[in-house]
Amino acid sequence: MPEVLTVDEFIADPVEYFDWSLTDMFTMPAEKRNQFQIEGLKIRFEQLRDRIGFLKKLADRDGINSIEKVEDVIPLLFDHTIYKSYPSSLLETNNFTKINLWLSKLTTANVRDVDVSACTSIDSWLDVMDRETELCIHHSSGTTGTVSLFPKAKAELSAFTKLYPLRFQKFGDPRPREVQPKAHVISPSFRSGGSAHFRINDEYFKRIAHGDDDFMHVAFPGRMSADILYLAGRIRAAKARGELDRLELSPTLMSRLQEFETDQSKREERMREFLEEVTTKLAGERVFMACAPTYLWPLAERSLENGKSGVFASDSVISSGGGAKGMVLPDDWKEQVMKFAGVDRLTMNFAMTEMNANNLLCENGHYHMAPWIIPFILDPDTSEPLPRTGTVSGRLAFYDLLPDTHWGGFITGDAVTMTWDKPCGCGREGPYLHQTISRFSELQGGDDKISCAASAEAHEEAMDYLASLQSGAS
Amino acid sequence: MTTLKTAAKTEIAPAVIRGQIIDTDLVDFGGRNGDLKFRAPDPNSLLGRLPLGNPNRLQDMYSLSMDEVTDYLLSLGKELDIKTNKHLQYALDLTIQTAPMTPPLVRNQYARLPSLFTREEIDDMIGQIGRPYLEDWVLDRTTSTGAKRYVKAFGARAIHIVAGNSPVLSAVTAMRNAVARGDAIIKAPSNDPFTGIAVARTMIDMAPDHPITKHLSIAYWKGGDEAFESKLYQPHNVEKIVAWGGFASVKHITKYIQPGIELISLDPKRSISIIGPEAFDDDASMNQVAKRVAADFGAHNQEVCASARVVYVLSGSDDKGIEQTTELARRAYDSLRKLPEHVSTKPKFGINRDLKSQLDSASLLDDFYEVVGGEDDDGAVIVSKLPEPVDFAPSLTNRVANFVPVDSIEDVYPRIDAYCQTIGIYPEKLVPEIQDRLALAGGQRLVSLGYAGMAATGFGAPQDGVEPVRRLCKFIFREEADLETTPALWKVD
Repeated sequence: MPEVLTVDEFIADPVEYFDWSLTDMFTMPAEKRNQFQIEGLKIRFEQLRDRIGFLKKLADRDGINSIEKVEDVIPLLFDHTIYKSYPSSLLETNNFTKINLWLSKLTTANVRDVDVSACTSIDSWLDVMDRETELCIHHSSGTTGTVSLFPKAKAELSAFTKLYPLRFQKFGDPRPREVQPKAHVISPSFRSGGSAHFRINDEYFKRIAHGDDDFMHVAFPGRMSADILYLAGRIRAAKARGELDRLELSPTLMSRLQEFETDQSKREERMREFLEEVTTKLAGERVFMACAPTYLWPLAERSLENGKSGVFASDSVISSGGGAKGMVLPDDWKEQVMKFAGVDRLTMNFAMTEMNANNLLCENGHYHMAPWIIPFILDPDTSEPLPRTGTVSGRLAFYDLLPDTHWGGFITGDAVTMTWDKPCGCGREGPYLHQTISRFSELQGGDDKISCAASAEAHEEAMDYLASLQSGAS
Repeated sequence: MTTLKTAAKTEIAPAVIRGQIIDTDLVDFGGRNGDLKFRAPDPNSLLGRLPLGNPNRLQDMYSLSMDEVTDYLLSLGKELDIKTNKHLQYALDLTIQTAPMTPPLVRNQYARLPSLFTREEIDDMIGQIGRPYLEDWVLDRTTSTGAKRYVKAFGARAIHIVAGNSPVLSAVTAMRNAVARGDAIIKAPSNDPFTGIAVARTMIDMAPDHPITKHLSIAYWKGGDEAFESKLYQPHNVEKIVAWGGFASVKHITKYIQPGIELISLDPKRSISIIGPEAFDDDASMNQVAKRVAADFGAHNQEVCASARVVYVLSGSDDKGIEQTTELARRAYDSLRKLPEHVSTKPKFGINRDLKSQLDSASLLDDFYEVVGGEDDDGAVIVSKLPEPVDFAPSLTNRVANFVPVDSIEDVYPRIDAYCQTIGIYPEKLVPEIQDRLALAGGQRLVSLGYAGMAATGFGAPQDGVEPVRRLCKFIFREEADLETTPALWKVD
């Protein structure tokens, strides 16, 4: 590893810092990692303390003016709800000027001076923001009727996505000569859109398909509209509350929604067709495929039944992650997928929009934290930090050193178990997460304490139930 | 007051079945999330005895006159004195550990038990059904053709799944059951497994063989224990299920509803207050309103359905209105902290973590909100600067209220839905203008501002838009024809 590189380079562009070597990245010695983490954190705090409005308020309130050890940042971590803390009516009424006022407290990018008063939809607002700022805002899917708006910077996204070609490397091997091999991208989703899993397609196109359209295979060539996603969430919520007639929607949006609902009903079918097509067309080719287990496993099962196995080149990358969403996967589903695809490993990733890292599952079943992520485990109820030694369970929080336009400190809604100091055995350095990760919001259900006061959970359960009735009926 | 340390010993919540105390076949319950661990009889061991299989066995209740029922309840009220009742004293110590409310509030709930059983209260509850209908067959109508209709109210066999957030509810249920002369099986709530048992044991000590004692049973089982519930919730065992509680628990119970079983659902609710512009007439008015609204969201530590969570202030939503509402919020927060200890205290576990982080976010969003208080985990008022509640309004608890300045009462109606129980109103003169609209929008109980947390006219009143005491009864009618004048089916001409 080139010793001359400094901590500034480490936090600005970690993949370059490690010279694109996966093995080097995950064998950074603990001492060096700890030193760079605290130094990097000091740099970010100095850069951002007075430039991020929300951070300044928190730091002023607690009188925090310097960071001496990594734990000092804990009171300054942002709760995951902060990125949807704007009053939801602003989005309902397309008040993007005020949304930008809110956003300006979360990013150093100059969003207040951008004229968004003419924007009449989230899509049109995203277009203006994409065009006129250094941001490429990532929104969440908004299935519950509220949408997170995360001010990711274009430069940040670009530095982060250099991690994707690294998936072609096997941990333990030396740096390959060709660090960004060209491969066919198989993306069973929409080509573009404002949420993370659509935004990423442009990056796949650049980094994996090398800008070659013939190497880009997406299920749906169009754009997934943020407005439609948001509307669908709101309608679901309003239907569930029996307040659908109180929802005011413009006719244009309503007709677009109908298109979306039609698309949704055909989506499963189109997806299956698409996956069949690409597995036939790209037989024997080197591919890069990222696909949820809910599609990947049925594809593998069908193909193997039809005698199709080892369909892709053996140096392909097949990635999966996320929950099975109610589907029961057989214990050996990963082996079956590998057999079908013809690869010797399946890349499983624990990631989130707010974290610029791929935390990949090792052969021992652990998600290893990238060295520029400073993890913390907090007491789920009090948010007090738990010891950074041994094996600890609690709420995952972290500081991501990569971004320099927004604050990288984040408290997740994830219940995790972390081992800090016992080597995993796979050869990777640093702390790692155990495989079982759940959402606190899910863990809190199932209680038989009865109260006559309606809790938010009860309300949400009601909505979920009613929403399921709605989808069952349509 | 002794504080029990339960580390060494696991407490027992016996079952009471028709006058008998059962404390065998014990299994462990609770103990999750810091809950009190306790032992109670294995529900499956109770299945044979718990339901009143034969409804004819209710006959003994009908040998009682309503005067006798009243006398029984009056005596019970006297016995339910925390100063002398050892069952209540034992239960209080444990309930302090399981309850979401703080010790002074739980003590106050226990202390008010006798006040539920006064003659005035009992008469009111009887009056809700109608004393003559409970006593006898009442001639209800005579038609022009001479046919007569007689109606009598009968009790039913009912399971009561009571809420555990207020200890008085088990006692209220016992009283409702006695007045309706039914047979009650109370499912003890996990957050209050002991109070109901103490009431039942008091009944046994007082009158072991009395029919009212013998038609009250109470047991704990884990809500949702399907193997157990599917056997108990059968039309040959029960006719009615009174379900308090959250959506999940009520939804779960609907699985057992079939012809022959009626569900009386007392859904989870939340409440609001509405304050007219008169609050700002002068300093004295503002102070009075501040005190009253603090009681609406502060009483019972905002743990009950009647607790106000969102407060609409008709101050106007312009800068001046926001300023006025903020000033009211400051005074209300001060008043909150001065509420008597038996009414409201600092929350048991501070402000809920998720709510606290929402509150923190809101305090950073000064373009949209002004947060008053909240720093030392002791309640807060969030003033909205937009004329709408915070998005997390459904999560407001632990003495955190949201004051929303609005331009007109018309802005409030669309915010009211079927989940809205109590609406505190100031001033009184606003009431005639808005009461029907509030009811149509979904509101279920309108009270003078400051009285949300009191049952000022008792537990005989309607609740959540239904009349639970009447609903406990079956109204049976008899038609008596006059063969001379009532047209007959068999007559040929």
